[in-house]
Parts: sequence; structure tokens; C-alpha cells
Amino acid sequence: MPVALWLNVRWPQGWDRPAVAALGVCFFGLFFILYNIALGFTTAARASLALSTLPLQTMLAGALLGLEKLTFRKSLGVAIAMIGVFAALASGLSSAPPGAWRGELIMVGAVLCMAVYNVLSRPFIQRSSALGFLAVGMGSGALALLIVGAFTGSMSVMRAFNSHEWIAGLYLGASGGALAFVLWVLALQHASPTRVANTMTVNPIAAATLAAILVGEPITFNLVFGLLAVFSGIWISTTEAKPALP
Amino acid sequence: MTEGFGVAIAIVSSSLGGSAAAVTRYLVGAADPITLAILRWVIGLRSYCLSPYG
Repeated sequence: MPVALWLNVRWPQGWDRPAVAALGVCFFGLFFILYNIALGFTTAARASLALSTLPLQTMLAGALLGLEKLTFRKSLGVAIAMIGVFAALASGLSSAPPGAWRGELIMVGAVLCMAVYNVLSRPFIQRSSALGFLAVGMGSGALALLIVGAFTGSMSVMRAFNSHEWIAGLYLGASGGALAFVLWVLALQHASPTRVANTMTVNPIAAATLAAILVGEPITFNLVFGLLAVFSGIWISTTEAKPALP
Repeated sequence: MTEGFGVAIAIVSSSLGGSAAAVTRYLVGAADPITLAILRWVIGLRSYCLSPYG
């Protein structure tokens, strides 16, 4: 926000303002609430596996909203990843926490929320600027969370945190939110969206590794299978087949 | 060089996102979903706004 003000960026105008604010509330507020609810039911690795289908769900949302053509290759990639993730999550249910499927279903809903945000963002960014769009969206999302938090007494929950929980909470705020997002945008400025999207598969690997250390969650074969399916799906969908030589 | 740099940044970003899922799982018993969202975005954003980079 201060950078946007300092650089005097082009802000969303007229009716774009409430629309951008609503998109911000949808992503920076609703998405993260759903994400946190999901993690209350299932393991970090399983939830992250569902999350890593984001590039594919974005393609699907773009096609359903008529903004992007879903080619055979893209459809194939989406199908492979979705079937792989479904098979991985279903086959590992016995070793997952009771009712884990609820968390994964909520996570799929959250990812769809993010996918719609990604697809609908483009015209607003084109009419204003990336930084102006982000600043209004993030600000609106943060404000909405604070208002809801004030009514639900969520802010007072933090007073009961012990030192370990504070360290974890500060890590979450310092690196899991804005920094990860800023780095993602920065990556898109230097590398192709295809290659950037492919790195989404690192997300469940990091989640599974750290969750094994922090909360003793098991790393199972079915998760590795699901991860391979997501990687294959993203790779197939985001790369073009080489034209046949004459 | 630039492409490789971009991919490296994306890997760091994805790793941070994945580690945040594990940390959220660690905190899920101590805080409700709204508190966790506030920690992740509002406190995170506030710290960057106050930092020399913000």
C-alpha cells in the first residue's frame, strides 16, 4: 500500500473499486478462512496436494467463464491431475485423520475461490495497474478480516498463545502470507507462467516435510503418487506439443 | 539467467506456502480459522508496511 501510494500508481476507477474490493475480500479473506478450516480436518500434506491443483482449476474456471479455450492437451492435463489427486486422497483415507475428506472438499472449494480470483483479476489489472489492484484487494481483505475478527473475538485468542505458538504465528505472518505472494509475483516477472506454475508441486513436498517434523504427520506412498499426477498434469497442460517436422 | 532466477524465486515462494500449511496445522488447535487468517495476512501485511521494503 505505501509503495503504491509513493509510486502514484493507477488505482481502480468507478465501479471497478467495489468489484476489486470484493475480489480482495474473496481471496485475501474468504480463501484463507476456508484454507484454515480445511487444515482443521486434514493433514498439511493432503490439503497442500489439493491446493497444488490451482493452475489446473484456474484453467477450468477460465474455460467455464468463457475467458480461455480449453484445448485437448489442457483437458488431458487437468484430467490426469484431478484423477491422480482423487485416487491419492481416496486410497490414503485409512491413514488420514477421521473426516479428512471434509477438509479436502473444503480445500477444493477454497482453490476454486482462488481460481475465480485469478481469472477475473485480469480486466481490472488492465484497466488500473497490478500494484493498485493488489493494494486495494489486500487492504479490503485485511479490513474485512479485522472487522469479522473483532465481532468473533478472534483477536483475543492470540493473548492465550504460548511462546512457541507466537513464534509459529509470527512465521506465518512474516513468510507465509505477503512474502510468499510478493515472491510469486516477482517470479512471474522473470520466468514464464508455465515454469512458475510447475513449481506449485514443491508446495506439498515442503508441507509434508515440515508437518512430519512439527506434528508427526506420516509421508505416505499415495501422496507421492498424487504429487506425480499433479506435476504431470501441470506439465502437460502448460506445455505445447512440438509441431511435426515437415 | 533471468528465467532460472524466476524459477528459483517461485520455488522459494512455493516452499514458504507449503511450510505455512504445516505451521497452520501446528496452530490449528490453538486458534480458530479467522485468527489464523488475521495472523497470516493482517499481521504479515502490517509488518511489511512498516518495514523499509514497504
